[in-house]
Amino acid sequence: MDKQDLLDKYLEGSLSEAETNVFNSLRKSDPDFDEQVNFQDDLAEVVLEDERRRLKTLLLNRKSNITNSKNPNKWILIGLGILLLLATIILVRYVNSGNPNEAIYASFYEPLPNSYRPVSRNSINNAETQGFTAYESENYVLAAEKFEERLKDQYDLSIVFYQGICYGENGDLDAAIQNLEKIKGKEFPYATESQYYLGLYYLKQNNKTESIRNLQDFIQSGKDEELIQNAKAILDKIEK
Amino acid sequence: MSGKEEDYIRRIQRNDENALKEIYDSYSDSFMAFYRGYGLSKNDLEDAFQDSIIALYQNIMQGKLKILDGSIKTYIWAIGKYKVIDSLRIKKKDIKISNDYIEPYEIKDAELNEKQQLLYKHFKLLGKSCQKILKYFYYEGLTLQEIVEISEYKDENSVKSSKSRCIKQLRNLIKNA
Repeated sequence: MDKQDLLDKYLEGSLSEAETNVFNSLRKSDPDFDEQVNFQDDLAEVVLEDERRRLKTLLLNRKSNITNSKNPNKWILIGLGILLLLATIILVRYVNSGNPNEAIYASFYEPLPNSYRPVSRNSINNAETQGFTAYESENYVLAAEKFEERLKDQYDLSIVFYQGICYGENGDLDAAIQNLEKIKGKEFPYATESQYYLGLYYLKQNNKTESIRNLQDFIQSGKDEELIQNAKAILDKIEK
Repeated sequence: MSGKEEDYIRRIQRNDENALKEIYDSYSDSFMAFYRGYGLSKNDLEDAFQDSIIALYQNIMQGKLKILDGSIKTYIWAIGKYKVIDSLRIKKKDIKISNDYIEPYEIKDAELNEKQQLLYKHFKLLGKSCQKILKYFYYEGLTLQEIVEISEYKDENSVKSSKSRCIKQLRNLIKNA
């Protein structure tokens, strides 16, 4: 049996007694094999944690739905809000249907991973943690709501930034741009990333002037080499 | 154990997340009422309850928990007790919790270590298809054949090579970080 088969059987928990002996002695004699086992063990923990966070968001939604269903007036208002949002999205799409920059946007846009407050089991349970848990699970509607709750409690430019990304993900570009313009030029950890995302959101709105200006600013001051290369490629495509 | 509880367990073993939602609906109020007197906020209690039922779900789903000695409720309350004590410890509140009605389960707290946190950060940077295939292997514990049956991979070799490619990509991301 080769090493990969042993690793696979270890993962499945189906090693026989004889195979377990071979497996254990290989771990002692072969550092590469031992490292692969440790990597697999760590990866299993990481995937388990990622699923835990996703299930946590699922339950937060459940709680939110139950609370809303106990309050019919609020529920009707939310329903009307959703209808209005859908109508706006359809209208914006109709108006932008001839926007050639949509394809450029689609090929470069990705929400920034949560590097501000990585959620862990020891994280304090508050609106910020719930917001980032939802953000990491790509539930941007809930994340934006929780960030709003957090901002009412204490203003934080980085939270305004991540809330802006949530709005962008939810298709509300005006709100996304409003958030990012509000924090532009201020000192905080995502000041340059704000310029990059503003460039992208303006691009999607077909506002080439503002898009180019923000992306150029980002190229001048940004630190993330990958995003800088993206910004240059976008400018190259817009200006052609 | 009641027939309903046995049904929950069978559904969780199939990774049926609706079972988790039903457990949430069934036990939420009584859990909050039981632990209300220990000085934790409503949010902290809600958090403890959610963590408890997720732990129950994942342990059953991954086959770590096959037969429950007591009822589902007993198991949730036992993990809940641990979570409540942990929250009280963080808030430096010294309150004794009675052992009445609670079985002494041993509960593992799987906080990610520093190395795993780094791995987690890069795992989240992988594409959706890579995250999915790694979850099939490392979370759901599916075999190659089972993955072929539920996915769009055409055969076991495609699954195998895709998994290797994703792990290589993950290792490279960490290496180049």
